Amino acid sequence: MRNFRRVGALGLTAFVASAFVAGSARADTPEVFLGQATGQALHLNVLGLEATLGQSLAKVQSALTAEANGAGDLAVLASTSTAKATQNGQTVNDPNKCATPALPAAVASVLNAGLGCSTSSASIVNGAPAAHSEGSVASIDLSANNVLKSATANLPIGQTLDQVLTPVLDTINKVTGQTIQLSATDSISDLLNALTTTQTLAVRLGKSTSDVTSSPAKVVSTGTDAGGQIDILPVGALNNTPLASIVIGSAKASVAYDRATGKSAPSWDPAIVTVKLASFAGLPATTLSVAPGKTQTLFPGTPLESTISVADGRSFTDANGAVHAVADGVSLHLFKGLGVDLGSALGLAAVNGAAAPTYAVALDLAHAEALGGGALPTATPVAPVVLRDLPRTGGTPWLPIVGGVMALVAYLTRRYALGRS
Amino acid sequence: MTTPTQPVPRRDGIGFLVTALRNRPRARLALSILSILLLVGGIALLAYPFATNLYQDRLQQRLDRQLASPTLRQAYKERRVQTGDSLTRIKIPAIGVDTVVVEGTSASALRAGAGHYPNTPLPCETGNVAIAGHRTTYGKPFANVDQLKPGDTIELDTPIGGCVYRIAAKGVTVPNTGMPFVVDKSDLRVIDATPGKVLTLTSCHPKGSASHRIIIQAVWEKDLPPIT
Repeated sequence: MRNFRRVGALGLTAFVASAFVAGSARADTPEVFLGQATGQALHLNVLGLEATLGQSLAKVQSALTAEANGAGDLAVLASTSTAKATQNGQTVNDPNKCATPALPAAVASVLNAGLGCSTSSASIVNGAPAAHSEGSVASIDLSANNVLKSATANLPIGQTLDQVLTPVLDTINKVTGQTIQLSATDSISDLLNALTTTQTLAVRLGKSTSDVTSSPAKVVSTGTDAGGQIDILPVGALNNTPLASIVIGSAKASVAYDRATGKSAPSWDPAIVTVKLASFAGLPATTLSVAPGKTQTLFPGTPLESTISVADGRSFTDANGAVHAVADGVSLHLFKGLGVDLGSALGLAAVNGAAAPTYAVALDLAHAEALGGGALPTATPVAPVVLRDLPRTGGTPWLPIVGGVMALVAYLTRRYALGRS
Repeated sequence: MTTPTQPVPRRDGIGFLVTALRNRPRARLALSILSILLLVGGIALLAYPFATNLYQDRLQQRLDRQLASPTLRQAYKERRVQTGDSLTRIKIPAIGVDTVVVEGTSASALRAGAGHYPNTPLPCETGNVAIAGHRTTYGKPFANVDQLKPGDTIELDTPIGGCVYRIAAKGVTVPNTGMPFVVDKSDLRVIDATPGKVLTLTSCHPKGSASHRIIIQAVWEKDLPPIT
């Protein structure tokens, strides 16, 4: 009988334990998203040689990756920063990397760059990747006047420019006590001497910033460039007051990707450009605004003719479905009217056999881009459940009764048929 | 004088059979094994209702944690809750019900105690939301639904918010009935679509039988803020 009870207990335990059976799971297509922002403080072309300064890039992906890269000057490792995070709970910082940009040797004699710096950081917190980077170069000074003088020794000022700059010369004469008078037939070289300029351009720049953040609701990518100020031909005798200042506001491009709907919303704020012409004797200070999508020409029809083109923002969707927002920035072509090959004046060979540029200096500033996109998760389609009856949720009262009968029969069998107690 | 004769042993009847069995080793062994199997099986069937309740209780603990998880909240918002996963919590104060309802009404899904008909709207949405629940096993959450009456409230709490239904006086999709009412197990009118917000509960009837279904239908009264 004792064995009988042991067997009974064993059976009960086994049955109860067998009731705990786990089900299986299905796998679905996971969510995918990407956010990226880039910024560029300055791209310049001086006498045919190019350099890009103050760059930033930030990128995050749904595969738990956050990357940030910044550069004062990509060609100078000491001014570049990198940060990458690939695991939840990871934070990587690479701050304050600064160095003097390495400009092409051929233009180093005329171009002086301030410190190029960058900083980058990347993190993944609670499954949300984020990246941030900054790139900047404080200043660019172009002192090509000597080159310009030698190249323009035979280029006349012209009537228009003579009229425009006569008040400037008058002011300089008052300050310096000189009595310089120029005519339309005098050369640009003579003009540059009279203006007492030692610098051609003085450029002060803000930084470019790229930032991408993610949350359960959305992924926001933002590229920003802080703009800057370009002073043209600062006049030494007049406290380095420039003939003209071009003030470039900040530009911003952003894309917000909604993770619930799978839609991306682009936005952009192109840079606002203001040109300030200095007030000199007889001339009031003049301020011109250049609207996005417009081009403004300074000193038209003269050797110093320069154009300022302000691009409007735009958005587009690429072949992969990602939405882009672009704040195209400001493009400056300076001293287009000189009509001389300044590169040759510096002893530079033609770049890749290209024709000599029709401008002395080209600057592209305030360019920012952002992109965002993704795909919602998909679930395996479930075939509609076709019911014949309402679900069965009971109806087995006979089970315990049958169980009792079986247990009784087992007892009686052992006691009487087998003669065991 | 006659000699008394010994009685002739009978060769028929239960007694003969029992004696024959006792004297045959193989028969005894077979009978012994059979009796053990009967005992184990009998105990198992006796314990079946208790075992299902134990299983359902363990499962409800896991479902309770799942219902509060951000993952499920996101899946709920994207309308991709899988069969067997937590969907909503049902509370019926009048009969002391507080149970997590899973998605699906398959036999395996209903081991949780109550399941949501997959082809009906999600809780608190427009239309006829239908939930089936056990009456005698697997926690028997709907054991006492026959005690509900018009005016009693039923609350559904989902990961993105909840609502309260109030039991109607008469059937909504099956007219001319009281509340609760009983239908044939194949009467699918009870889960027909409705233009307004309705909740339908189904369970087997009578208790312990699956011949019919007992139906409770309630009408939406108000929404509740999200679970924090």
